[in-house]
Amino acid sequence: MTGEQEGVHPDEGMIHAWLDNALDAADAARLEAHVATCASCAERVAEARGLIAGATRVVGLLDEEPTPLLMPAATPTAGRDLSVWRLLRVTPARASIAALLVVAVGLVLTRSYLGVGSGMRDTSTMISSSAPASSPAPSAEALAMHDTVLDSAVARRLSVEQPPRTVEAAPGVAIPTAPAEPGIVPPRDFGSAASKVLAGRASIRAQRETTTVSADRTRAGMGQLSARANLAEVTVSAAAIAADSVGRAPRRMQGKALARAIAPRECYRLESVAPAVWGSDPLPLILAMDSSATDARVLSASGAETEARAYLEHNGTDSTFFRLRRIGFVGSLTLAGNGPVHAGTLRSAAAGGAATAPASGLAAKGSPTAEPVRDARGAAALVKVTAHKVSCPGS
Amino acid sequence: MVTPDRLRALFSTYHQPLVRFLTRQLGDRDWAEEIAQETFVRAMQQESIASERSWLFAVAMNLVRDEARRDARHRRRLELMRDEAKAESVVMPGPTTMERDEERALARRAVDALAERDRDALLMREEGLSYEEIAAALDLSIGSVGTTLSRARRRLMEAYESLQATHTAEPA
Repeated sequence: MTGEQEGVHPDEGMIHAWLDNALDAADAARLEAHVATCASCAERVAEARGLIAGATRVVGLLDEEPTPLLMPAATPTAGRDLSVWRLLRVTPARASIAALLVVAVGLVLTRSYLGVGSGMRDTSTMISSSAPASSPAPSAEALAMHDTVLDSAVARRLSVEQPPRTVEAAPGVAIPTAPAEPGIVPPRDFGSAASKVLAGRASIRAQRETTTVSADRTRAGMGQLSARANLAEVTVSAAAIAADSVGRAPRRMQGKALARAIAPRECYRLESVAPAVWGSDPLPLILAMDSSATDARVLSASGAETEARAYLEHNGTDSTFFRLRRIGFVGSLTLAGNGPVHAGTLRSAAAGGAATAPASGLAAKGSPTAEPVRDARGAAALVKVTAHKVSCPGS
Repeated sequence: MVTPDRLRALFSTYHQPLVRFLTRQLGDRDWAEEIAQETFVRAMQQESIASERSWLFAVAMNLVRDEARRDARHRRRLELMRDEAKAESVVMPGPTTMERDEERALARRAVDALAERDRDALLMREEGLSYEEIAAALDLSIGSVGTTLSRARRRLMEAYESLQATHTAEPA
């Protein structure tokens, strides 16, 4: 990074070993002391944490069952309990065709039963003939045509014994609700359809996972965080990152708490040391979370709207992953840690494949002069960023 | 011989993580189950097992390698799945189920793109194996596990994100 004293800096493997709690106490203490005083190493630690969280997420993607191809994408909340209707492939169109058939067969049978099958009567008189009780005052024409029925003892008794019925809404039809998943804390905020979708996924996922899998993969879209101190414009220091790293519990030992690194309606100011753009918008940017902490507006430093949005795809206890949503660009943002300051990495590229992340000089918004920078392997280069919790613009 | 009681304990502790590890390796749950079963059969035939978890993962991995590992059948299935997911996807503001399928297919390709040793180490770590256990299973020095893992993670993320960039650029 800085080039000075390269020999004493821990290598990347060492940093990963430290973050994986695999160093012995002496090495860990030495590394921790070094990172506390070396800004470039603190950045590398932040990057490594981003990579660890990202790799866990990508590996976790392998576990989800592929969606059956016959199922439309519009039913993402469906759990494992496939309904009978789906198994029978009953669609609304098929159901209405079936209903029509039933009515048609019913009409034919009724006509033959009544012995007036060859008549030219219209459907309304047919119905009144088959349900005398519901039509207390049939027309004279209908009465004349129905005498074979009305003269029967059965029909007479029916008309006497059963009073005319009125049709009302069924009282309090109980729609069964899905039973609560065992061991799953019920979602708190169902403010939007998206949060319901996420909650559904989270419960399926939680059911599938065992305790050896990091709890931060459960992705309920609702925040359950206590209000955090609103520290505006905190400058992240190497010491802060180091202290955060040291205090971090091993990922696998955390319980299935639903705590999230980022809560609804929080705003984070995204900064980088080097000038950089995300999509086409230059940093610093502000991420303004929506009410379910799943979607964020991407605002300029002054709080102006941009055309970009960010989808909070993973909101774990100690890591978060945003996907950039901006036409013409792909991008992501991985943040580690929780609390008012997060460190992480960001990258983006034009959808055609050209990386846009670091800009040469401060690129103006949407500037096409942002120089594509790629690393040796051709992937969009990572930019180290910090995210500080700030008060939301206009709030 | 490993006693039946001990085997039962081994099975209940390690079967599930082993199957998940193998499924992530192979992309096929049934195949993973078969290999896990064979692994426990081998365990049964041992006189004693010193480091059980790393032994089980190492044997399972060797069994995978013994078979034609990159079976064309599986590759084809994944490709089909990916194409199908792409064909049916529509532009939506949030991730849809189809989008998840695409991401899964991309993750699969990114994991497959890793060097064998890097992938093994990473998937073992994701199952909670310690550096010592990974070193024992892969015949590495403990000191090089961190390097292997850091390389695996970096390459995985690079592969995944560049696949994603290419994928998004392709007309849907």
